Amino acid sequence: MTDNFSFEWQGQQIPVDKNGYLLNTKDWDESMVPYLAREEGISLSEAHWEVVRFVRNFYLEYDTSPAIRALVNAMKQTYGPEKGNSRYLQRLFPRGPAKQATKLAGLPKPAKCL
Amino acid sequence: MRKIGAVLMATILVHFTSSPYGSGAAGEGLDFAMSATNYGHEVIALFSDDAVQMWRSDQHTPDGVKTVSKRLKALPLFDIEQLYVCEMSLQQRGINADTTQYKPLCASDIAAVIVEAEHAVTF
Repeated sequence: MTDNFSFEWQGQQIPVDKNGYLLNTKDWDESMVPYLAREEGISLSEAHWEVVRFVRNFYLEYDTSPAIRALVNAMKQTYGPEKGNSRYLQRLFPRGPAKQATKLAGLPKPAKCL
Repeated sequence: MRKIGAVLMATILVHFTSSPYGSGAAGEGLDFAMSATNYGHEVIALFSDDAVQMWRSDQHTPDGVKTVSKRLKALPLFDIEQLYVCEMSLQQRGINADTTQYKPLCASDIAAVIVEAEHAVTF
């Protein structure tokens, strides 16, 4: 690794990977979400917050970042099919719900590429 | 194989044989299994030998490593519902996991599961 990426947050350097995902989940704080959302071109609504907190809790419970299928399944269990479907999530996070929500929640990118 | 659109979907058996924290194998196997379902493949998981320790409820997770028992609970959310555990490996290690998440299998049933899968990957 020759490249190091980070951003400054309240006087501290927060290390991220080359795609902007926090390297240490413990560095994350809810106050960072508006900044991370801006970087993704997302204007935060209460619906976004709900998903961001949901994926954060998912990670704490399962030690795993949810990919889209798991996110949809888990949202369906908790909130029912109105929010537990990929169209609803895609509208909130146009560049990929699992990718963007985990980034805003300070989590590693979901495992997808083998 | 089933054909969905132009993509071929396979049934993949992910066979766990390593202890949960002795190497990175258990974690890599879980990553692999979860990734495979993202592409629409059907994943079946089999746990034998030291991998049955993954089901212990009293796991001590080393620092900086993900907790295997937590990750196993996420498998159904990734649509991995067929979880088989070698009964003999459990008995040899005196493990009585209090979960109904997996199905214990005898040797001949395990052989049948392996034969039925189109691909098998061992971790």
